[in-house]
Amino acid sequence: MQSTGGPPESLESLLHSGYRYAISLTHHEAQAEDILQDAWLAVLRAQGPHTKPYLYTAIRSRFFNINKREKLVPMTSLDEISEPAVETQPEDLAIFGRLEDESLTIALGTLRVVEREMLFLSAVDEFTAKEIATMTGMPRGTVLSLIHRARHKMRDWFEKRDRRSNHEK
Amino acid sequence: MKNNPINERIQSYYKERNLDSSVLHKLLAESGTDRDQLNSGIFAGWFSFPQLKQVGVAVAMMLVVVLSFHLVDSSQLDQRVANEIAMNHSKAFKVEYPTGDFLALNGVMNKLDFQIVFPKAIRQMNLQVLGARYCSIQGMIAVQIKLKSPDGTRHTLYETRQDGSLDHIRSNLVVSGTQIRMWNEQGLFMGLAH
Repeated sequence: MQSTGGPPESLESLLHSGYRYAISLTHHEAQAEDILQDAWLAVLRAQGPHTKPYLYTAIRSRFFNINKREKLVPMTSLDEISEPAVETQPEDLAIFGRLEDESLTIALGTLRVVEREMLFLSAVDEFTAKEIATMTGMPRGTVLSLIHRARHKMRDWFEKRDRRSNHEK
Repeated sequence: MKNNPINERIQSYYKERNLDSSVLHKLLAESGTDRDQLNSGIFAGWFSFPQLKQVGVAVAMMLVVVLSFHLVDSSQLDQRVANEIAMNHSKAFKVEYPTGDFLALNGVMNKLDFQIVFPKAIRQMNLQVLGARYCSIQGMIAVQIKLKSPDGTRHTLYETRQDGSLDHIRSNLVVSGTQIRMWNEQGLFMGLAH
């Protein structure tokens, strides 16, 4: 994640991106705002580069420090995560075509923090697994596995919801 | 991993979420690039040249020192309290107890020696609670509650027990651009800043 290949973005755009990344971690907009402010001040104090990887690292570090201290985020050993291949499911289109914002909020809330984070980094920022691995310090295979798992969980969640909905009819 | 329906939906979901404009401008101002301030004559010089920001900080620190001397001599308690509230308000504090339920704070903030009250003014202004943390007003333990108005403006509310010295404070003051309203309600001193 040292370089994203794209043009440098404006500070405004960078801050919006940082806010969204913080939401992917906290799943709570007010907390995301607080963490972003804290991280941004740290970036300025350190006279660090105004880049997405640098800001994201500051946000990530603050989020995990706070939550580790308060024991709010269950930490799972990376060894516990298997590494299946990433594949695109044909039913994704049908299932996710029906997603609404509210449903997505609930579905994303069922993911572990690290799964939601990986999904965000790959889907929204379109970082490659290698770039994500560089930023987070995780093996590339683990990153791929987490993305796969996150998408699988979301698909399951919506399938179950649709089954329940059809059953009630 | 790119250009599939899942990613597009996730992308659309997150891109609809933008940082509150007041917070965005505050953060841009911290980095010396707030567009509004760039265009507003008096600050234009400061923020056009990043190195001058340091001069601004030095001047601000000198003002704090001068203000401190002024406060020592001042017998205006309400001004001192308003200054303290304005200073607390200007800090980007971290919410220790995030909640959307005002009175739920009583269940978790058990270090307070009073019960948090939901003031009438807050109800009338339709402010949304975001969370709270402990703080102090004039050396007394207090609660600092973070609020957001429907138009996105940030407010902070302070409540502390009346100890006699704060009983008669009822003022509307402006400190460094921050509007401070202070009053007493249900046995508590209250201060609202925005």
